[in-house]
Amino acid sequence: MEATKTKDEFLRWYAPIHGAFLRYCDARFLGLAEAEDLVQDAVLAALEQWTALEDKNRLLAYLIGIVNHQVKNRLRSREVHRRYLLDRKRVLDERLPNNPEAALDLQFLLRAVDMLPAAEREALLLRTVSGFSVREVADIQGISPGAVKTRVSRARKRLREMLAEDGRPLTVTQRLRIYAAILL
Amino acid sequence: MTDAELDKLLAHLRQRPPSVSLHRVRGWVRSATPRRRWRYLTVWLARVGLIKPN
Repeated sequence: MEATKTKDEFLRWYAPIHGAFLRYCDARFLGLAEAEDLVQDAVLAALEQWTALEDKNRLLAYLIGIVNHQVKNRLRSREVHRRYLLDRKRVLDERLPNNPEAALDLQFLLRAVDMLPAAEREALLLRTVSGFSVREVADIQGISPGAVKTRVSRARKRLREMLAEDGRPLTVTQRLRIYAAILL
Repeated sequence: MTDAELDKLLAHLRQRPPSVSLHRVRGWVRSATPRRRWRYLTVWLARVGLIKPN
């Protein structure tokens, strides 16, 4: 009886953030074969810790933390990482069958996003892909709204630089990092 | 790359409908039992090669 009550309460808190949580997972881990397993594991792990979670408003931050941790562990293997990149390419090609150029651009974009510092990457995805307000991202990341704006702005600047095609010179190191990330 | 071009690319990531329905999550939560701990243990044992994966 108590367990049912806990599950109902958990679902009441979870339902409003479901869409945003999936959008985050999708943008961050696009093409990862076990994406559904990741969502399931994160939800069930959060359910198990539900009574111990003091601030229920931080459920989304908690779920994102669990997923990030799981994926970091799984992608440690070079083989898994290589398969992940191939899966992601396939998913993008399938998603944009009539627009191979956009699929390729997205592939480059996601590789560049992979190379951002973790905190900036999360702020950018939460703000621009998941659609949270600056205030909400600040609550999730536990920082001030001003710091969120700085992180998003820095992330965008880095992406624009990494994906630059406007003739601005990149250093040899920057170019090599980008080419290596795309090709390997 | 300009800001507008970057926004256009990021917009592609926003367009996808949720891949896992809320209905499905409800099913996972309602049927969750402590037995999943055993499932984790078997997955971990398989990963480290101590038992054969299912």
